[in-house]
Amino acid sequence: MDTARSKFSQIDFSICAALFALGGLILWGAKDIPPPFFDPLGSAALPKVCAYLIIAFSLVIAARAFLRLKSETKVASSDDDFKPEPWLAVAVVLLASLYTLSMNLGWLGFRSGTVLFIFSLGAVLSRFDKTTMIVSGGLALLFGLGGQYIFTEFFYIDLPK
Amino acid sequence: MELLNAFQYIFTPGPFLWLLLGVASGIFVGAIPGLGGGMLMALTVPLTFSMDSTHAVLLLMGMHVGSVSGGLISAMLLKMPGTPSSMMSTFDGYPMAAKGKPGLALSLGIGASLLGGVVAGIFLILLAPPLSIWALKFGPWEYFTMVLMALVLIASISQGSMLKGLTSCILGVVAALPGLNDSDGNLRLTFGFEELDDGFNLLPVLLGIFVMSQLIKDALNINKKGTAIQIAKESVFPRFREWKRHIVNILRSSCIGTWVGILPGVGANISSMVSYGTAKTFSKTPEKFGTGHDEGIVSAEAANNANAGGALIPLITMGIPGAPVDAILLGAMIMHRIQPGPLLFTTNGDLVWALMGGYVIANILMFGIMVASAKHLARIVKINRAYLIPIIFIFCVIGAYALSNRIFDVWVVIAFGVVGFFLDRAKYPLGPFVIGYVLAGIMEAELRSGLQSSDGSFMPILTRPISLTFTIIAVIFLAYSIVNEWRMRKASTQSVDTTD
Repeated sequence: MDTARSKFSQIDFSICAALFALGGLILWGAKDIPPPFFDPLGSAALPKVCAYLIIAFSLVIAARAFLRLKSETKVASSDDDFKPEPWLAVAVVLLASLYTLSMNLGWLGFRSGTVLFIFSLGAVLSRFDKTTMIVSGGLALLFGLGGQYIFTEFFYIDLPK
Repeated sequence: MELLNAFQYIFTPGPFLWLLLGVASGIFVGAIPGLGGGMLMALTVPLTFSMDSTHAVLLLMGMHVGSVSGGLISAMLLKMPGTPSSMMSTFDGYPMAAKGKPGLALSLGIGASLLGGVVAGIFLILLAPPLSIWALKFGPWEYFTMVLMALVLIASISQGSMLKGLTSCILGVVAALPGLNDSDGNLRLTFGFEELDDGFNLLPVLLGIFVMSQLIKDALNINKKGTAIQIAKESVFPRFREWKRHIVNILRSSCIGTWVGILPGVGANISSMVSYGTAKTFSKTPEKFGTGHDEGIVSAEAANNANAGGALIPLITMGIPGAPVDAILLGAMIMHRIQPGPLLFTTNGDLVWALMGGYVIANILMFGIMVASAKHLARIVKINRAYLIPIIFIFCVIGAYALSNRIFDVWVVIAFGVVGFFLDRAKYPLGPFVIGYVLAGIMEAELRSGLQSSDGSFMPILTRPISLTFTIIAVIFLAYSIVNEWRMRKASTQSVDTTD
């Protein structure tokens, strides 16, 4: 048994905090928008309305999460029969960002970056299972080398070199 | 006459092969839990840039039809819906398959999908032309209130909390705000980043929300594996004697699916839920629902396929996506310089008729492919995620980068993927986000144009009959959703109190 309700409320609080910050950021950005000229509304109106609504809604959602937390009862965490792997989700984002960064800064081209990315992410996701790593290696070469050729020659996409 | 020409055109080798490829790949991807039609379509859009526009639209629409149907295979044999719209098929399809009748379960699902699709196709062909003529009367206020109604509708009908649906919708609108505003040429919310001067491009946002967030989720749930029920020698071809008694259910479910599809922004999962609930209400044996009942399978599958056709109606006639996945179709059409809306019949009449005829043919092709391949697809749906996730991300990179040769667009995919993942974890529906993003520009432009013509007065919302009707519908839906949510909260609090 686990307090799933509390966990869910925590997610709600985190999202609400992010939404609140986003609302503030939009209002801060909207103050630099010039006043209306061609029409009575102007370009700042919609961002401001959205920001106020986001802030208001995030407060209500946070209040509901708080009330839910107060009336907390022990409930089963989940009826799923599998173990989630949060670090694998983090690995996907991290490796994808590294791959993109390497091309962004010109460290790697599409070809070499793709070979490394497919192989390394495949290895991590399979928890370094040898068979999967061998297949991933093959796929990495296929998509890295073949992908560059096909997308450049046939789809005329100028991929990073 | 135009329809006959369209059928004639579709049966020429080029269009037919693209449609066939679309349906087949849609079924394949739809059958794999965790992937889906939206993902496939978003990944394919950049590859269609050099294609003929009609071929591209037929390919994408085939994918849509195929994926909605393909989802039933894993829903019935693995208890893991391939697409969200197949969720209801797990309720009766899986129990029936588990009882040793997987062939019957699949045949009922496939047959209902075909008939649902064909009924919706008939509605599409009959309703789209007059509706587009009617929509020609729309001015800025009618468009503004219609978009507003669509946003309220999708936010309030979405599963889960209405407030979260509305928040998701507003976040989608916010995502569309940065960059140069077309109405007055002002830059806004760019925070000094030159890359944001053009705003976030549609495709990277869609790839992030539909694909990247799903990849992160798939990695998180990588241990989730179903036990596949094997089909021995059973035929999955629907038998007439099984079908006779389902005709009323199929027609009713198809009408519900089409109608829910017409409502702007509401997806196929809602159609199948409403239809399943209605079938249960009208059934002589409601207690059997959820235990492997044939009526449940038929109602859910007829409705979700009909929804795909119904959703094409507002897309074609008004340029409003009928479902989140249709936002991709809308984006693809715009990228091919085709503007969906009331003038589409005049400017691209051949394409519209090909699209409508293609939808009907796609359903027939889907039936043929599903009957022939369902048994084999059941074996290959369990592809190792360690191979799929990196490769799909590579396609995201290529798709986003190809748009304007900017790595910035790849960063947008990752960022919106992370945002989508966390929103999904906190049970914020992603459908309203996509629709909000797609419709924000139209909504603001029409409102500002309307205000210019009315000297800053909002009164035309109430004085123009069509605007007033849309506003009343929006208010009714909003009020209904608020009351409904309040009732459900009260009921759930009472049940907790009773348990304590």
